Amino acid sequence: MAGVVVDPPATNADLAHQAGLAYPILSDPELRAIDAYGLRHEHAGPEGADVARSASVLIDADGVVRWTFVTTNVRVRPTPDDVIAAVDAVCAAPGRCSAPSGRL
Amino acid sequence: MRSRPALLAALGLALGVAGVVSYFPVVIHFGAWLPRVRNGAVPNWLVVVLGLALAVVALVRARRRLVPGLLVGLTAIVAGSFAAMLYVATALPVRAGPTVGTPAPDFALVDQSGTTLRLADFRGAPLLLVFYRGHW
Repeated sequence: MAGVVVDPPATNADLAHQAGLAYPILSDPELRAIDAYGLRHEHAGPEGADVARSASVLIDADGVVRWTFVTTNVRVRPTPDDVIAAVDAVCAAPGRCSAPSGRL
Repeated sequence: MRSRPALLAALGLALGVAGVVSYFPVVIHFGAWLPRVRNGAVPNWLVVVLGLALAVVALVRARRRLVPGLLVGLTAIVAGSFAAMLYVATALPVRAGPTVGTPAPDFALVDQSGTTLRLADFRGAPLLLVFYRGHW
């Protein structure tokens, strides 16, 4: 699992420490990856800055997008059950999820 | 207010307000542990609708309907405002995002420890990539 956000690494380090996050939070201040994934949210940040639309993208072991959740409401996020079901679907095929557990 | 219908209608309004106000602690403090409540607000709606129903019953049973009527109106405004907040004010335009079945776009981004990570670094296992609004 990894997060993508426009904030700088130092800010993300503080958040990860405070929230006890054990996965990488990737800094994308120029929104390059955010644009590549089609998830720019114009003028939604402080002082009209562009930020990422809240979204989750599940990528399989071969680098193919297998499931997405792009919210249409600032309150709504995928539930853990939604994510687990998507991962189970990706891992249903033999050998698709051979990496050690905890990687995701 | 000495009339029972007015008191009942006031209770209905209080329930409506409580249903709305109680939603915010859920979102702010417990959203990660109560995702379905955060997403759907069903328990809160049950309280709001109960309050509205009580107020309407009070209005129906009242002989003098001015005060219960006002309270029903206020409760309806509370319920309508809650709906507007949940479904209109927080709505976002539909955005497709990446297409399922296509190769995920590559990236090279720095994590919180200063390490540059690329998509290829996650090959071999499924990767859940979560995009955050940020500005924590």
